[in-house]
Amino acid sequence: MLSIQNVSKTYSKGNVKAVDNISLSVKKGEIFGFLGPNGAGKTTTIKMITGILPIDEGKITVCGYDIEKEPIKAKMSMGFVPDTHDIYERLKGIEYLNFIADVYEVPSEVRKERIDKYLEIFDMKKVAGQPIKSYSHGMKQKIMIMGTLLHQPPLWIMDEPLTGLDPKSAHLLKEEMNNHCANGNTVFFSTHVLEVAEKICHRVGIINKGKIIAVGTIDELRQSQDSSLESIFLSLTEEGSGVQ
Amino acid sequence: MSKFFSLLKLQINTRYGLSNLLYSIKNDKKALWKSIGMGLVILIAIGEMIGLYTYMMIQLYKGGLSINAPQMVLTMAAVVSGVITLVFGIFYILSTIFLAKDAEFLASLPLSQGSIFASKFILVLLGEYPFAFSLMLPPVIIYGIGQNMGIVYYLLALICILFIPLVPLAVSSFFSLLLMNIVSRSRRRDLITVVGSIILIIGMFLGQNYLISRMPDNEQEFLAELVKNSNLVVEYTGRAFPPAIWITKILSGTSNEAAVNMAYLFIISLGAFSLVYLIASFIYQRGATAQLEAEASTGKTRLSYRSTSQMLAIFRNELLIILRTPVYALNSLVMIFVAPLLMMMPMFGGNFANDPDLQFLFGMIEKGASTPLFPLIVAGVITLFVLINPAVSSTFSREGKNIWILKNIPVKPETQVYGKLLAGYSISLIGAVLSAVMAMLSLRIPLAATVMAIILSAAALVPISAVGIYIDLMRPKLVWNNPQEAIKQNFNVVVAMLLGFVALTIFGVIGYFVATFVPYTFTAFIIMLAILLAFSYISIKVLKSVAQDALRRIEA
Repeated sequence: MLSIQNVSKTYSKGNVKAVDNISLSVKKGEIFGFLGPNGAGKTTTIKMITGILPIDEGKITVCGYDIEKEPIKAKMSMGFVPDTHDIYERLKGIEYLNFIADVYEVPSEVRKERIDKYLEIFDMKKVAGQPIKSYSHGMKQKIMIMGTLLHQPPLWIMDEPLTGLDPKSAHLLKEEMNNHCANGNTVFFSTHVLEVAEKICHRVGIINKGKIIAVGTIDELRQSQDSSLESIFLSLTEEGSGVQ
Repeated sequence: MSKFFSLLKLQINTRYGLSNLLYSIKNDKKALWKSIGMGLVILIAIGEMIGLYTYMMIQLYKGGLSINAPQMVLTMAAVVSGVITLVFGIFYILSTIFLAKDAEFLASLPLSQGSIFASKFILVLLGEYPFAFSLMLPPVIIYGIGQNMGIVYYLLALICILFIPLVPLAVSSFFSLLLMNIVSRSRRRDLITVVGSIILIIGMFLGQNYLISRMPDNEQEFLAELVKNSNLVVEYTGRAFPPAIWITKILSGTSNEAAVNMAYLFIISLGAFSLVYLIASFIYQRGATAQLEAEASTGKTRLSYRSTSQMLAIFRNELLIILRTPVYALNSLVMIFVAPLLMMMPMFGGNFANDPDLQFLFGMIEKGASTPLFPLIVAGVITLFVLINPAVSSTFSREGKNIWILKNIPVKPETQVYGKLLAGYSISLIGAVLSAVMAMLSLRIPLAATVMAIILSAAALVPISAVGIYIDLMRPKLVWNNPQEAIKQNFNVVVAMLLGFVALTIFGVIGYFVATFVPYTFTAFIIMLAILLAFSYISIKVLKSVAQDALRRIEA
C-alpha cells in the first residue's frame, strides 16, 4: 500500500538533514502509527508521502504509484489531514466539502449520501452552512477529516489527528480509523499519544533525528525491550539505537 | 521605551520585515541578492515613470511661467499627491487599521485603543511617504532651480511634504472609523465591509470631481481674472485640496505669507489628526475586532451538493475567497468600479461636459471613429485600466499557509493554474467590458467599435493575465501574517503590472502597424484578433509547460 525506499530530505540548503535514508513499508488493511519526538522528521516524511514536499533522494509509492512520477494517481489513492488547521476559512463547511469532492472526483450519485453521513457522524450538520472562520479548532479538524474520507481513499494519512479533538470526537475518529481499516483500507498516522498508538495500531514505526529506529507490532517491540510502549519510546529516542 | 513606541517599533518591524531582512543579510546571501536585484528592477521601472512625470512637470512649469504663475507646478503636484492619498489611502487605512490579523493580539494587550490606532495610522503615513516624495520632489526641484531658491526653501519643502498625507489620511480614517463601526453592528460583516468601502471610495472620487469641476458663477469674468492674477490660478488649481494652496504659498510667497500658511498647514493637519485620534479613542476597538467575530447564523441553511469539474471547482473556490475576504475583494474589485467611473465622467453634466478638452475629444472621436485604428485604441485604453487588477498576480501568494491543499489535491498543476487564471481573468474582463460600455455611452463611441474593442481586450487580457500568474507561480509570497501583505506588499503584483504594461505597449505597436497597412476596419480587427489569439495560445502553452515543475518546487 505504502512503500518508502531510502528516502532523504534536507532543509536549509543542505545544512539540516530532516529525514535520513529511511525505508518503510505499510501493508493493506493495517493501522500504522508513526511515532517520534518533536522535530524527529514525522511531518517532513508525511509531507513527502503526500506530495507536498519534493523528495531529495529515494522513492515513495502509494498503491504502486510513484508520488513523484505519477502524483495525480498517487494522490487520488490517499486522503491527508495535516497537523495544522490551515484551511480556506472564508468558505462554508459545505462548500469546502464540495470543493474536495470535486477535486477528488466523487460522483454526484454518492456525494450527498457520504457528506450527510459524515456530517451526522461528526455532529457537524448544523454548522455545515456556516463559514469555517466561525468554527473552533476541533470543528476545523473535523471538517478536514470529513473531506479526506469523501473519496474513500485506500490510504488515509493523518498528522497528529487527535490534537485538539474533544474526547467524543477523538473516540469517533478512532472508530472511523477502525472502520476504514475493516473495509480493506490502510491508515497511517503520526501521534504523540502513545496510549492511542498502543491501543489501535497494528504496527508502529519510531523515527528519531530523521532515522527510523524501530518498526514492528507493539508485541514485537515489547519483546525486544520488555516494557510499556512509553518506556520503549523513551529509551529508543534517548539512546538513538535501533530495533528493526 | 514607552509602550507606544514599542508598539510602533513592532508594527514597523513586522510591516517591513526588518528582522527577517537582517537575518537574510547575515545568513542567506543568495536570497538577499535576489531581493536587491528585484528591488533594482522595480526602482528602474518606477524611475522611468518618475522621469515621464518630471518631464510633464517641466512643461507645466513652463506653462505656468507664461501666465506668470510658475508656482502652479507646486500646487498641481500637491493636489495630485493629496487626492491620490485620499482616494487610495482608504485601502491602506482599511487593510492596515481595521482588517489586519493582529487585531486580536493587539486587543489582548494592555494598550489603549487610541495608541493602537495612532501606531497603525503612523504606519500608513510612513507607507504614503514614498508616493508623496516621488510626486513632490520633481516639482520642488524644478521650481527651486527655476527660481534660484535657497536652502530654506528646500527645508520648508521637506516639512510640507511630510505634512501632505496627514489631512487626507485623517479624512479617510474618519470615514473608515464610521464605516467599520456600522460594520461591527451588522450581521453580514464581510459584505458590508466590501460594499461600504467601495461606496466610500466612489463617494470620495465623486466628491473630488465635484470640487475640481465647480466654477464660479460668472465664468467668463473669472477666466479673464485668472490670467491676470497668479494667486487666483493657485487657488483655482488647489480648490480640490486646500493644503496645496497653503503649501504653494509657503514655498513661493513672502515671509509673512509663508508663516501664516505654515500655521494653517500645522493647525489643520495636526487638528485633523487629533480629532480622528480622539474619535478612535472611543470607537476604534469595536471596528477593528468586528472582523474577528463570527458572522451570526442566519438560521437553517439549505446545503447544496452540486458537483463540477476540477477546473471549475478551483475557479469557484478562488472567486468565493476573493469576494469574501474584504482586503482581496477591495483590491481586486475596485478597478471594476473605478475604471467605468472614469469613463462616466463626461456624463456627470455641468462644467465637466462643457470642458473644452472634452469637446475636443468628442470631435476627435467623431472624426476617427471609422478608422481601423479606432477600435484598437479603445481596446488599449480599456485594457490599460484593468492592468492594476492584482487578483491574478497574487493568486498563489494568497494561498499562504493553505498552499499545502493545492500541493496535495489530485489535480494536474496546469488545471489548477487554468482555474486560477480564469478567476482573475474574469474580474479583469468584467472591468474591461463595463469600461467599454460606459465609454460607449459617455464618449459617444459607436457600438461596432465598442464590440470590437471588447473582443480585442478579451483576447489581449489572456496573455497579460498569463504573465501575471507566471510571475506569482515562479516566486509566490507565501509567508505573511495579514492577508493584505499577500496582495499589497507583494512585488509580484508590481512586476506583473509593469510587464502587463510592456505587453500592452507591444500590442499597441503591432496594432498601429496593422491599422496603418490595412485600410479596412474589420480586416484590421480580424488580423489583430488573430495576432492576440496567437499570443494567448502561446502564453497558455508556456504556463502549461512550467506549471508542474513550478508547483512542485514550491515548498509548503
